[in-house]
Amino acid sequence: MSNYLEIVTKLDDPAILAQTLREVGERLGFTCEVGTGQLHGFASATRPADFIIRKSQVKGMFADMGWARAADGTYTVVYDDYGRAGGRVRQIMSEVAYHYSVVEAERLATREGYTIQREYNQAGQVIALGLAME
Amino acid sequence: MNTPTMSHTIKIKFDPARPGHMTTLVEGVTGPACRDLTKWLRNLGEVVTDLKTGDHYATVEEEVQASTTVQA
Repeated sequence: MSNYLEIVTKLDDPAILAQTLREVGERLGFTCEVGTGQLHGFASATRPADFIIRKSQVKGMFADMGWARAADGTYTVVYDDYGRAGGRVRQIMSEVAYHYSVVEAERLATREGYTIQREYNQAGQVIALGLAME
Repeated sequence: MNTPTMSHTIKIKFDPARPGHMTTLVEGVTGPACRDLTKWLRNLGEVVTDLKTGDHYATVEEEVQASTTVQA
C-alpha cells in the first residue's frame, strides 16, 4: 500500500444526485421531482429547490424535502418542518449521502478504465469497491 | 483516463455508519507515481486524511542511495 485517503463526499453533481435519488427512491418507495420547483415547508412557507420529494410520497414526513444548490456548487438538504425532522427524513438524508458516494466512485472509476468488483454487507449495501487496472 | 505504468489495485471502502465517508487504499504502486495514478480519487470529495505509506518512499530512498554511491 502506498497511499491512504479518507474522503468526504460533496453532493455537487446534479446527474449523480438525480441517479442517486432515483435508485434510493425505488428502494424506499418515493419518486423525486427533478428541476427547480417550490418546496413547501412549515406554515406553507415555500423555498426553491432543485430536487424535491413531496411530503405525500413519504409516510411520516410532514413537509416537502429537497436539495438546493448552494453558492459553492454543492447541494444541501432543505427541510423546513419547525425542527420536527423525523427518523424517515434522517434515513433518506443518510441513504442519499451514502449511495451518492458509491455512484460517484463507480462513475469516476469506470471513466478511468478500472474494472470494478462490488462487495456487499448482509443488508445489501455496497460496502467496498475493488478496482483493478491491469 | 490514466496511462498506468504498472498494474495496481484500489480498494474504496464505504462506512454505513458514516454516510458519505469513504477510505481508499492503493496497492501495487511504489514511489510517487502512486499520487499521479490516483489523482482522480481526490475528485471524489474533500480529502480529510492523506497518508503516504512506506511503499511511497521506497523508490525515493533507493534513488538517493544510488546517487550517493555515484558521488562517492
